[in-house]
Amino acid sequence: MNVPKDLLYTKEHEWTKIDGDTATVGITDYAQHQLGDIVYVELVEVGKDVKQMEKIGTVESVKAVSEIYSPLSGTVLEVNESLKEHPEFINQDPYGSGWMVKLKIKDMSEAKNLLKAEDYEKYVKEESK
Amino acid sequence: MESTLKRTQLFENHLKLNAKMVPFAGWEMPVSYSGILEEVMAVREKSGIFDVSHMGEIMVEGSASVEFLERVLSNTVQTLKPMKARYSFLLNENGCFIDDLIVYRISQNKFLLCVNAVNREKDFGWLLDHKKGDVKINDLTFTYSLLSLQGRDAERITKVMFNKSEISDLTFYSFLILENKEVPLIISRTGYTGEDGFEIFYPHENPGIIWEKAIELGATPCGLGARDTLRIEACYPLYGHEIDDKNTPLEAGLMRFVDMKKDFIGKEGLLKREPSEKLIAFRLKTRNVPREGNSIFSSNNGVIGRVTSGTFSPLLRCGIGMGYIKRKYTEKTILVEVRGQRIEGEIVEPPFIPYKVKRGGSR
Repeated sequence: MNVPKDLLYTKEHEWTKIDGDTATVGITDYAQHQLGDIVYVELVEVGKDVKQMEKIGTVESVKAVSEIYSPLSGTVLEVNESLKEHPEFINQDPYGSGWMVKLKIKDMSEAKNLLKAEDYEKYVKEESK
Repeated sequence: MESTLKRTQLFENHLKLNAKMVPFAGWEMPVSYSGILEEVMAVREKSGIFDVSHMGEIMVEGSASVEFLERVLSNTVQTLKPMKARYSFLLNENGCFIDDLIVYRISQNKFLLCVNAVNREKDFGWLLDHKKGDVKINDLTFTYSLLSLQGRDAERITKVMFNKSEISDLTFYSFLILENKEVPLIISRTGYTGEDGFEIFYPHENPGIIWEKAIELGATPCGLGARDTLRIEACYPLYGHEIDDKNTPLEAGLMRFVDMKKDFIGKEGLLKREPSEKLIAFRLKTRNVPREGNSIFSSNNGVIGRVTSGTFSPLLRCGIGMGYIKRKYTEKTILVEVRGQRIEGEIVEPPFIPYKVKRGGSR
């Protein structure tokens, strides 16, 4: 299981990378592996204001459906349009070409509610017991 | 709960391949290895091997076995030649499904029934309850491993594995016996994918030899996830989804596997029944995956039915499925409600993919 050290995580298995006042969001390697082959992705519209842990999308695999929640409050700056045709990017490269949404962060202090890499890793190990 | 799950003799082989294991019909089975879509495409383009040892094998023999099977099976075995197999149903008095199965005629008075894992005990009990005269019924599920090798390379691989040229002469729904013992090793040209392929009923304790050899010869290990998508693309029904104890071959469009010229349990029920629904196959305009239980609507938004199976077809690149709708509905366009959204779909002639099975002799 790949859990990059420089990212923050949610218990719902999203990751976020904070860069200045911008946050990039996707789902973790563990999440994509649990879902299996992802075949359909639905994402929020650009310009929408979302709250922390508000739904920002849905992914469907052959066997399962999963909602995607926003790790932080903010305004949606960009969504990864390439996932419409290539949802498999999420399986192949969840932290790279499989990114989903970019947000303009509204309240940086909310980051304290997120998990650091080692805590997320511990959480997943507990959950998958 | 988990400790009571049954395991096939290939359980350790699945763990070695890092399979994702899930409970299925009381067994702990591999749902996927490398990924469902990759496994589906391997079967469509080359070959795949499945461990389906959870399926039930019931041997029926004795001088009254033909008479007995004519009574309990919807399809006739009277005209079935030895070394040929036939698809059939067990029906209850109302004509509703108890199970679907394949019957293999091993000799004049000896038949093997291959039944669904989920129904094995129910079927076995039903057969015992209706047994008459000189008939012996044995459950061989825990003696047989069942391996299914499917796809265009299946013939080459099976020939090498068993070193038998006669394998090439088999046509769809015929089989050969390699070891003519009380419990024989059977290689049959059958499958559940729409591709050419073989099913190997292996009665020994080391099926891992066959499994590993097939993989070494190029077969991709495939799980139940791929098997489900393959059978939906081929529009084959699955008990508990398209067929169950509430519906009959009339609704399911499967009357070609019912011989109304003979007497059997369920015939009267079928004669009395006026079906109000029909089974259809449909594809969606999008990549959404229809799921069992999703509602189906007419083009002007009236509820007309429900989805029984759905998946994503890697060949068609869209959601596909089967379901029951009102018999009266004749339009091509439907709407399927997936997660609250009504997605446009089109009713299609089954199957979704062209069958590649090796036709030949009679079924």
